[in-house]
Amino acid sequence: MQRISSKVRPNLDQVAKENGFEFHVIDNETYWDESHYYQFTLNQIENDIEDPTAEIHAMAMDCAAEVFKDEQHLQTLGLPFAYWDYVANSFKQKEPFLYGRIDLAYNGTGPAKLYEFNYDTPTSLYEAAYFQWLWLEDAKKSGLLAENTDQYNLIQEKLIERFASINPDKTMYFASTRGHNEDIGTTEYIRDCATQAGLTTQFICLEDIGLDQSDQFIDLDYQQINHIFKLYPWEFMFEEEFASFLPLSNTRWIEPSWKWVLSNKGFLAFLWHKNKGHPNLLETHIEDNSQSQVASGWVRKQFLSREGANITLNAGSGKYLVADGPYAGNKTIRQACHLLPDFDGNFPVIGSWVVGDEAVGIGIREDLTLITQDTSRFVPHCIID
Amino acid sequence: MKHSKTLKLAILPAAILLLAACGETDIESSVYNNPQECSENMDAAICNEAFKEAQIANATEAPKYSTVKQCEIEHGVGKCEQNAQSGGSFFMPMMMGYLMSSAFRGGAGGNNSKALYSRAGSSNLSTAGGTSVSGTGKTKVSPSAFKSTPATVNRSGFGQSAKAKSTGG
Repeated sequence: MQRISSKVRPNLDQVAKENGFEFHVIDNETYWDESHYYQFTLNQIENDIEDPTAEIHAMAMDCAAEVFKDEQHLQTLGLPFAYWDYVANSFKQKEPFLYGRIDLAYNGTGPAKLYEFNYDTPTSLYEAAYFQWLWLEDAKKSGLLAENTDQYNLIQEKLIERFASINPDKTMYFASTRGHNEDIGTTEYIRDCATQAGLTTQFICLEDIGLDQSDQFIDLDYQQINHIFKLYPWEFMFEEEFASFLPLSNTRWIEPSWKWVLSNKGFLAFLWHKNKGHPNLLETHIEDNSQSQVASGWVRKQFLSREGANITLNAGSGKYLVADGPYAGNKTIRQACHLLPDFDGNFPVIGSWVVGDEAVGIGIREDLTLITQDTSRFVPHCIID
Repeated sequence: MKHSKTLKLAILPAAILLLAACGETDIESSVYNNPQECSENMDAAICNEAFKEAQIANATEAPKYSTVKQCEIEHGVGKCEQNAQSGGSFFMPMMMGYLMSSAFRGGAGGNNSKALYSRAGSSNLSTAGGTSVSGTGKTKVSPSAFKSTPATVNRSGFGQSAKAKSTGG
């Protein structure tokens, strides 16, 4: 695993625009960063990332089955009582899911370490699945990379396959919130994949979803919504005005509500207890006291938080980092501190994608700090053997 | 080979340019309790016509309930009235005001003015279609507020947390 300096395509803005990548620059800061790329060997990809990803996913699904066996676990994770049956039933009925992203810390040698699951609303998908692929094609065409250069990326192909297998034969709606252009872009990309799989699709703003007199969710033309993909966290949905109608409605959601459990960081403690000592797992415990000082060698994370918010890290010898955010007040976990590798002052985290139950590719986000946040840059990768 | 041989996009560049339904900009509108209040801000004739259009919408779109109790659960005690029509009687919420689009230019059937009703437990008023507004005067509402509404429908029940927090991960 090497970080290699590279040439930015002179027409990058044009290429991004032509391919619907509206957020390659965010708030005047580079987000898509091809001034470097990460180079892996095939062995690193297959043995250290792909296989462990599939194994971690399988362990997570087994562990989820155990969590759903005992309502006490749902209580521990903080699921509101009103939704215990709703969420547990969605798992029992095997409501279909699309995808997830497993965040790994890896430096080229030794076992990759699981940071967390982004199994409900994983983003950076379009960048990893499509634009990264396009970068490789262009790099080969321009001679920047040799013709036989590879990349670990079957993400889009597998998304299309997955949609074809869960085709509901009725319109599938795709929703995200008004004004969040990055989310709308990602949602529209996912709808693009569904369209290529042959589904009838329609976009709807999450705020425009209606509730009719028979407690069913409807679109702007008063048609019942039977199937809907949402890029919106379940923990928000459960707090909002329509929440109590979720169990009453016939609407099937993707991701399904059982993903709430896997995207909850408390789940990492269950996973550790069931698989103690697994080389890809970091020791994790649910905390009794979220107010205490974080002990040396541990990282505190909120059960439900996103994009690196509300994380406190104590690496020892005075290395103490705090990332603020809007999620404070949640229950917390402590996870053994395992720092991201340092490549010339850049700290990459590997987002390893799972579509259905398959490990299908990676995307790398790099930040100048040890806690990857929404300010991080997306850096492409390739495989040269 | 560990990457796809060919990939394409089907809808994306164009769909993003349109930004789908979420890209629709909100409509500049005004909320008034009555035409007199409206005429302090604009031409009285326009105010009256908008009020009339809202009354017409009220007659066809207002939610209807078979008992006063059902109606009061939704709209608040004392906020409902009986309405007798051929073939039976029903209860509907009183029209507490109206929402007019800045696009209102008069004329019938323009769907640019809607009746507003109270909601139990809330100081906000809302249209039969579920668009909620607070206070009177200028406001911005989703274009869906002016669509015609066949039945009681509530909207904006999901998506509110996104204003404070990030939705992705």
